[in-house]
Amino acid sequence: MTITRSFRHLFILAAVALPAGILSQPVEARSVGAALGVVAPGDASCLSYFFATVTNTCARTISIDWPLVVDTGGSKHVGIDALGPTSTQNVICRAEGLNEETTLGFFSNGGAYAPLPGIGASTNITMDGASVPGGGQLLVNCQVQQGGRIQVANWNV
Amino acid sequence: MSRRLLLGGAAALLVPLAVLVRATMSPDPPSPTGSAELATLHAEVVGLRQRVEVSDRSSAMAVRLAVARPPAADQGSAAPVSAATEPTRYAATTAQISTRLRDQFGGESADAAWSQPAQALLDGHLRAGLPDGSRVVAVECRRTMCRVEAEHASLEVYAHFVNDALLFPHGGWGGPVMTQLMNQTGPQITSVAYLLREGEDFAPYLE
Repeated sequence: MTITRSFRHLFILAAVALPAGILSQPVEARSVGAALGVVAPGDASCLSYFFATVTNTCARTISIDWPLVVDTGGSKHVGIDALGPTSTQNVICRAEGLNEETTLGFFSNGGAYAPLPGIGASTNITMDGASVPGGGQLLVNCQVQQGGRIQVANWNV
Repeated sequence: MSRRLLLGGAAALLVPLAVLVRATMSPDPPSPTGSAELATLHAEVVGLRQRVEVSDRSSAMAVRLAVARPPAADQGSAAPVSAATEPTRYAATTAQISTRLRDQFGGESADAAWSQPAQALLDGHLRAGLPDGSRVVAVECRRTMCRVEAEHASLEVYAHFVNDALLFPHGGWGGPVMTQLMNQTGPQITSVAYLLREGEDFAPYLE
């Protein structure tokens, strides 16, 4: 029994290119439900949960922080899936890079909060270029108005 | 390291691949034609693996060259260093970052066309948001960055200073910002912040 040349090349391609495709991915991504975010103790009762999503039920704006796991220092890209039902039930977020001792803080775009790209439907707030020093920490802070909902954070580690 | 894993993965696949090919080709003892096919197949795989290794060495060299480039002493633009195939990873210590920024700022001359309006904007912004217990010691803008030195009565006051006076949460400053606590134990907490010009990047100071 013989194999055709094209069949043979297919095997060679699988042996060489498949591991290359799998193992040379430059960016490892992670995601986590919004319920792991941290709020001030007095604001905890303002949050309602649906699975791992959180919604602010209070009239005041709530500040939520997520420490996000990173494997290395680098420029991190962070996305937050969120829903702002109306323009007064909005969500804005900012990514921050900190060193290990929390004495250095890095902010992109002058520390400006990124807005939801759209109102009335679930969408993704993207924050590029958060600088995390080697051995440092990645933190995301979101300001959530009443009725605003946050679903998941995703980022490169 | 992923390249090494790549080669390991390729090698790991070769063994089952050879078994699979052998099983597919010859349920019976291999014929002379089948053996020749296998030998040719093996030679081609070895050749391809060698080409991957050469590519791996070239890519690794490119990454090392890119990462090893030191930050410019006083150039108009501290362009971010880009890696060849993988995202740049930062390894500088806090002391190195602090020293590099201090040296960069110290070596810069002022670009009046940018530094004067930038400093006016920053002065007004700091004044408007300065919390009780914070005092701005010095503000100066040069070519690629502004430096703000300030003192604070406590860590809590410093946090208010960062959020209310230094940063621009609603926009207004296009470049990145770094703030550092220099001293947390004295009667006054000291901080130094660098606000980069739009288009500049902290990457060269962090690598």
